[in-house]
This record gives sequence, structure tokens and C-alpha cells, in this order.
Amino acid sequence: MRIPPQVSAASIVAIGHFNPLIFGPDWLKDKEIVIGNDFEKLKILIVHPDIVSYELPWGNFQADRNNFTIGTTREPLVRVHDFFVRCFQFLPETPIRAVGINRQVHFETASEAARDRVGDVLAPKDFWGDFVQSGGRRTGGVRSLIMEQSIPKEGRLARTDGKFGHVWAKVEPSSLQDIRYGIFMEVNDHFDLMTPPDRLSNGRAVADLVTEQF
Amino acid sequence: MLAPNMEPESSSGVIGSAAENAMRATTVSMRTRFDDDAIRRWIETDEALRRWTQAERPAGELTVPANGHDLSTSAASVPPPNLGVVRYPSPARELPREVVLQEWEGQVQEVGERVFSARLVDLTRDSKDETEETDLPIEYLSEADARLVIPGAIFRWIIGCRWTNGEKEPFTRVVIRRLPIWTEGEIKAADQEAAELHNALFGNAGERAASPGPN
Amino acid sequence: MPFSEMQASGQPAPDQIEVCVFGPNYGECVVVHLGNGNWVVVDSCLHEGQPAAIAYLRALGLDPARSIRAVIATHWHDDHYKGLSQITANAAAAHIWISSVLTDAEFLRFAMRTKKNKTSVAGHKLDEFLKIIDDICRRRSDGQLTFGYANARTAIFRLDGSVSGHGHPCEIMALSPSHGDVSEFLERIVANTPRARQTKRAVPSPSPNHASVATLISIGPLGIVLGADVENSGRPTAGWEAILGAHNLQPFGPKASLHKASHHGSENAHNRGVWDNLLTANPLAVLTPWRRGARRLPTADGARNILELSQDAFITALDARSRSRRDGRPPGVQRFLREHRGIRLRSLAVPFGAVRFRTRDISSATWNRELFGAACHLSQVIRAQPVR
Repeated sequence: MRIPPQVSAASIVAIGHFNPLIFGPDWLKDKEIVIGNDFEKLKILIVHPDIVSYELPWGNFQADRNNFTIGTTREPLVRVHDFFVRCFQFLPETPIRAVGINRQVHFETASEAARDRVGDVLAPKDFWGDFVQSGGRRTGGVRSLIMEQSIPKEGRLARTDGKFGHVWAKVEPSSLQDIRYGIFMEVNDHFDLMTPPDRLSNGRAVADLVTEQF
Repeated sequence: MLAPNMEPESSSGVIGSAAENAMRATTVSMRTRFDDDAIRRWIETDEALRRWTQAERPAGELTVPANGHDLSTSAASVPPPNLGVVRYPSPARELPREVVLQEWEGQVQEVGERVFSARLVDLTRDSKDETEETDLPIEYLSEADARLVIPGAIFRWIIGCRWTNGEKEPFTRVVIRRLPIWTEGEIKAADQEAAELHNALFGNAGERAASPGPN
Repeated sequence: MPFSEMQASGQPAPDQIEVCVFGPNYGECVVVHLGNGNWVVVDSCLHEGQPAAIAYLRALGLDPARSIRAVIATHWHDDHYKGLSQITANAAAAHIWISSVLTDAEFLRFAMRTKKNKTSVAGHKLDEFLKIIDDICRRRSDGQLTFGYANARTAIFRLDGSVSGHGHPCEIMALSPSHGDVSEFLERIVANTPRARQTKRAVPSPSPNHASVATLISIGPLGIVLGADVENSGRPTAGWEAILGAHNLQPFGPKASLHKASHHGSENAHNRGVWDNLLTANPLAVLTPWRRGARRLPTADGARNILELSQDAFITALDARSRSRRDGRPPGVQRFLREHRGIRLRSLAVPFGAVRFRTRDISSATWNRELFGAACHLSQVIRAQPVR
């Protein structure tokens, strides 16, 4: 059974060494990364040697000297993939040290009791005793739960697919007021691209990685 | 689960940061989560922008909503004159909430005057094969995007419902994908694989051996 | 698909010839019994997820691995022979035949560059073709030379009369591709080969299919022409013109009393010279329908062309007709599609049928014909309403 999320967002974040001015609007248009309606409706928030920031009709882009982020709250989410991959295909030598693919969703549940049941499954309350239950009523519960998938490998953390990095999954009650009894989930699919000794990866590799993993 | 804490400096943020700090202490990984503090930290340390931080931030706009955090990438509303800002940020905009019920990926087959036909892969059902075809009005795209509708173009088509001013209404969206390029590395690797395949089919026989093709 | 109905008649007798045409469903399939349990499969389509040829042979109580002696691929495009790689995997001893032009270095370069596009789900694919090529490479490296590359006049299969079950020798000969077909095919392929820095896109439509392998099956005096996708080219070196020119120089074999019309009975595939020179008078004819968007084959005129020359012409399904796929979707989606009449949504899962011909009377070529599933007489095409 598929439950469509009430809010769905995705972003891709790269950490490395960037020259923000490269990501000027004309460059984005010339490389056909932002074309058509996207280019006509592009809102430039900042263009500065240290940071650029745009608002696209479907998302937001920001790059400073160390961070590159493209995100959206509007389906189809694949647009962040296309934007990111195309950017770094044209910048194959950009030094990159890490990349993360992030997904955030807010689901609605039918009732407070239904939401509580989800929390009870993820974090069984028996161990917590009267910290969370007293006199037959709830006195506490899950505020935030983060699970990490990682295994030690060569002195670093690695994912089960063998790549260095980790996967974080966070679950919390949703704070969006218009989603009743909502549950928020966030997944950070993180790839640590440094290879020892202190060797950075590059745009070419990260474009391939995101194509494979998104 | 606890009811959400609606305070801006909520305990969820504190616990989240504590967990993350604990993580950071045992790992050397860098956070690749979309970090709303990144721009604020940068601004705080940059003397040129210190004056800017004294300006009011536009209110209540979630752009990439992580739970309880305002991840707005909008800059403050009054930029200093020496920063080379090309355009002032837009005023705060309420984005209607959308729920997507159905998504397809399609390939354009033919383009008529008002309608284009396409074959579709049902992504909502996790299909990998084209199982449907459709005729869609070109008017579903903006004028600028309509120019991108050519045979072979790949697009996403979604149907869902959204809430605007408390009213629920259906919506549809057709987006032509800006696919990546074939890189020189991919072309080179493909040509090598093709040459190996040709040799596997025929052996290394003289003039039948394949050579790399045009780039 | 009423395989239970088809199996009621049992397997063909050892001295009985059978030609069975299935389709459409991402392709078409022709299964031929040459005699004495020797089967040949041409192309493939699916039935309930498995190749129709495999399903049919198993329904007859046969083991595909032991029955299939040759598999002929007349296409290179997933849409047209889905499941063929499953057939070759199931029939490891069968000879695989593909068009020679598909082993050309230029085509392989096109295929491998196209394969690098992993970013879109939609679009034409070459997965079946690449699996077949892998199979051929594996056989070659194992020293199992059970494959071949077909050109005009390539002898694809021979069965001696002493083991054919009916005493007549059997031969399958490729009628195409001709030299002109190969040139035109490679020209188009080179023009469509991806280049560095080009935006990725799907494989272009393969029509016309210049790589198509038409065949003449000769069983003693009896002939069967399977037209594949051959069309008129307007030139003597390609298409039907090249085949007829070659036949005029040296006849391919006996005239055929059964003809699978090429290219879904399209008007451009209709060549009077074929009917006059390669076929008997008033032969049996059969074809499968095709649709893509608003285009359908055969057209009414295409059907008329065939019916003027064959009173016994059949089609495996009346039309690549399909129902709108609203059912099974969320109510909001169903409502939206209902209310927006400007959108047409059609399933590609179309009615499926089979036409089966059997004969023991090889000398006079008197065929028994049976229709299964959605199959019907070709005249129904002219009477059918257009599908919206």
C-alpha cells in the first residue's frame, strides 16, 4: 500500500572547493542546466564571489566556496538530480570531498493514537517505564529518533554498499501545522569521497555517483 | 510520539544538534545535510555582510522544509550596496502544499499543433517498461518549455491535489527533463566496450577489428 | 491467450508442417514446425510475462530446449521482440541468427554509447539485443558455434529429408538484408550515434527497419515467406526491390503458399512484384497489428491491398486497441482523467491472438487454418471503428 506524503522534498549537497561565480545565470543557461521556463522565471538572490543563491520556479540553488546545494519541494524531485549531475558533468575537475542525497517527507496519520503507535513501534516504551507512562497515561514519547547505517572500514565509516559514508534516517513528529498528527522523516544518504591520504574526489566522479544512487 | 514542539529554538533542534555533534566527535564525516545554519554562520563571520544580518529576514517561508527548521535560502531583504547583488530577493511567497498521486516518465513520440503523443512508464507502480501511451495538450507546458517538446524528449507527468487558501484542487504538471550529457569518459568507455564486443564476436581478424569512432 | 484451446489439437504430427503467428505484445512471434519435432522461432512477444513461443511449446507438452533448432531475430529494438533472450537462454542448443549488420562495428558503437544513458526510465531500449549478443559471445568463447549473421541468401537452416518426418528436405534462407539495406541502416545509425557533450536521449525510432531479416522457408515444393519488416525502398539495391532483383537473377526457391505480410501490412511494404513472383496465386496471408500514438497498421488501404490478392488473410488481433488505464488508480487521478477530456491515456496491453496453419499435404499445400484469442479475418480491419 502506497501512502503519498503530504510534503515531499529532496536536495543534494556537495562539499568541496567551489568558485561560486562559475554558477552564474548565463553559465547555467549556456550549459542548458536552466532553460526554458526555468530560466525565464529564475530569481537571483545573491551573486557574489563568495556565494550565489537563486530561486528557481521549482526549487532553490546555493553555492558558496565550500557548499553546493540544490533542493526542491516540488515534484518531480528528479529535477535536483538532473541539475546536479549536469552541473558537475561540465565541471569534472572540481574538488569534492563529500556528497549527500537528502529526502524529507511529511506523512499524515489518522489520529494521535495512530501516530503514537508508529512511535511505539520504532521506540518501544517498556524499557522507559514511568518516564513515559505513569498512572495509565502517557507522560512522554519520541521527540526525535535518528538511526545510522554504517560499518567500520579501514578506520572510517562505510555504508553497506561498501562506499565510505553513512545513511542517517531521522523520524520525528511533524511540526507542520496543517498536517494533522503528522510524522516527519528525513534520510541523509552521505558519501565520504575522500580517499587517503587526503585526496579529494572530483566532479566527474560525483556526477556518476549521484546518477547511480539517486 | 510527542506532539510537535512549535518553538523556534525547539528541543527537537537541540536534541538533533546534540546527536549530530556526538556523531561528529566520532567521525570525520562532513555533514551533507542541507544546513540552514551554513549561510548564517558564513554571514556572521564575514565583516562585509555583518550589516546585512541586522536587516529583518522575510517571515515564515519554508523552501526546503526539514522538520521545524526554516531552510530558507533567501537573503535578508535589504542587501548592502557593495555586495554586487544583482537583484533584490523576492517577497515571501506561500507555496501551496501538494500531494502527488501519480507520476509517469514519458518519451515524446510525435508533436502536433496542440497535442503531443508519448509512451509512458508508470513510476508510481515502480514499472520499468512503457506500458501506456497518451496524448497530452501542449498547453500544459509553459510557452518556453513547449519549445522543448520534440520527438525523443523525456518528461515527467504528475497528477495530484493541492491546497490553495484552504481549498483542495486537482493539479497536473508536465516537466521536460534536462537530462545529463554523454561525457567524453562515457563515450571513450563505450567505444572500448564496443571494440571488445566486436573482437569477441569475430576475434582479432585483420580488417574486421573495430577502432574507436568519432567523438 | 487460450493456450488450452490451442493445445486441444495436440502437437503437430511428425510429418505435419505448422506455422503459428502470435501477437501483438511488444512484438510478434512466428513459430514453425518443420517436421519431426524440429521447431524454429522467429522473433518474440510476451504472454503474461513469458515469451509466447515458450508458453505455446510447453502447452503442447514440448520441451523448448530440445525442440527449438533455430531462433531468428529480425529486429534490434526491445519493442519488437521482447523475451527473445529468454528463448535463446532456454534453447541453448538452438542456432541464433541475427542480421549481420547488427554485428557491424558502427552499430555496436551506437549500442554501447546508447547503453550509457542510465538516467531515464522511459524510451526505447536495446536490452534484449545486448543480451543476445552476450549469449553469442559466450557461445563463441565456449567453442559452441551455434550462431550466425544473416544477409541476403544466407542459408540459415537445413533439415535433410531423411530426418524431416515427411521425407522432404527443409531449408530456411534469408532474403534480406541486402547490400543497400545495410548501407542505409548504417548511415542512419551513424547519424544517431551519441556524441560527447550531447544531451542524453532515448534510442530513436527504428523505423524503417533496414536490418530486418525476411526469410523463405522451403519444404520440398512448399514455400513460406516471412516478410519481417521489409518495405519498398524506391531503389534496386534495397528493400523488396533488391529481393526481387536477386530472385530474378536466381530464384530463391519454390513459390510460397503462405505469406506473413511484412511491416504489419503497411502500404509501403506492399509490393505487387512480391505477390507475382514469390507467392502462389491467392496464398494464405497473416499479419500482426501495430500502433504508435495515432498511427496504426495496417491501415484500411493496406488491408485492402492484401485482400485483393488473398481471400484467406488473417490478423492476430483486430487492432492494437486498448482501454484507458484509469482503473486501479487513486480516485483523484481517475477523476482528473475523466474530467480532462483533452488527455487520452491508453494501455499498451492489447488484445492478443494467434493464427495457426497446419498441413500434411505438402505437395498441394492445402492448409488448415485456426484462429485463437483476438485473431480474425483481415476484412474486419476495414469494418472496425478507429480507436480513440
